[in-house]
Amino acid sequence: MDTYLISIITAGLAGGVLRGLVGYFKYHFSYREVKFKPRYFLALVGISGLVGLLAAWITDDLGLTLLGLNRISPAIALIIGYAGGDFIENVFKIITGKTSLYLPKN
Amino acid sequence: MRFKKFLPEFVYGSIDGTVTTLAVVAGAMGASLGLKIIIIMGLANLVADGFSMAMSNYASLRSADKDNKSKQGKKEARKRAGITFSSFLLIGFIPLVPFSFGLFKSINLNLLFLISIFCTGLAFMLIGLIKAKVNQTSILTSIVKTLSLGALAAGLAFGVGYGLEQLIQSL
Repeated sequence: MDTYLISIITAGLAGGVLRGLVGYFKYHFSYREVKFKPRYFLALVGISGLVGLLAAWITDDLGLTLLGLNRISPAIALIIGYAGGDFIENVFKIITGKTSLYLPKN
Repeated sequence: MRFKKFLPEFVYGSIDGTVTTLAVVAGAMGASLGLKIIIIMGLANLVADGFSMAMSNYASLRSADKDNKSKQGKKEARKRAGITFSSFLLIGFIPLVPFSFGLFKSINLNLLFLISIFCTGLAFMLIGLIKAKVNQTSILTSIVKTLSLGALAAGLAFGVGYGLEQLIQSL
């Protein structure tokens, strides 16, 4: 695997870690004491990495210009990973009909 | 006041929108991305996330109210989802406002970021105040908690963006 792909995957995963942490703190601070769910957190991290990688792959393979760039930089993959993870989380909540995926501590 | 019953949705949408956008802005600043990219990514995230959040809010309200199949129940859920979406967009746009001015006048990006943090801080204080009224808790605690959440999210995002930029440069 070349360095470019490794850096894109790393950036996408970092976006996922960021999204997971921000999401957890958001619910922890805003609503109530919540449980940290490692499995869900890791799934979100993985999905975000994949979203970043897919965006980079599509742009590269189809020769698209995204945000004025011919190739997605790792920094953009980070933000795409973050935003993509967030979006997919909300789609998942629509399907499951839940307001939050973080469960209250009992 | 008719709007009062929708305050929880307003608080819910505002906090989420502001935290999400601020994190995108801070992450992009940490990763040294340009002005246009910050605005495009921020706006895209704001609209897509706001819509999906409002939809998930609607879906959860409808599934919690399974027995109520009336038009009134649907209308109420739609209204609440609409308030969530509007507040998500309106208040969530605040971190991007200073950057939008940067499109028309050449202003240092770091200065725009500082103004953005200041404006967002004020927004968090306002949300904290409204949240205290909704939950009937201490105003000071609510403001401090909401501000801390914003600071934590922005700090984390900036740190991850900056760390990644350094890591990639060293490769």
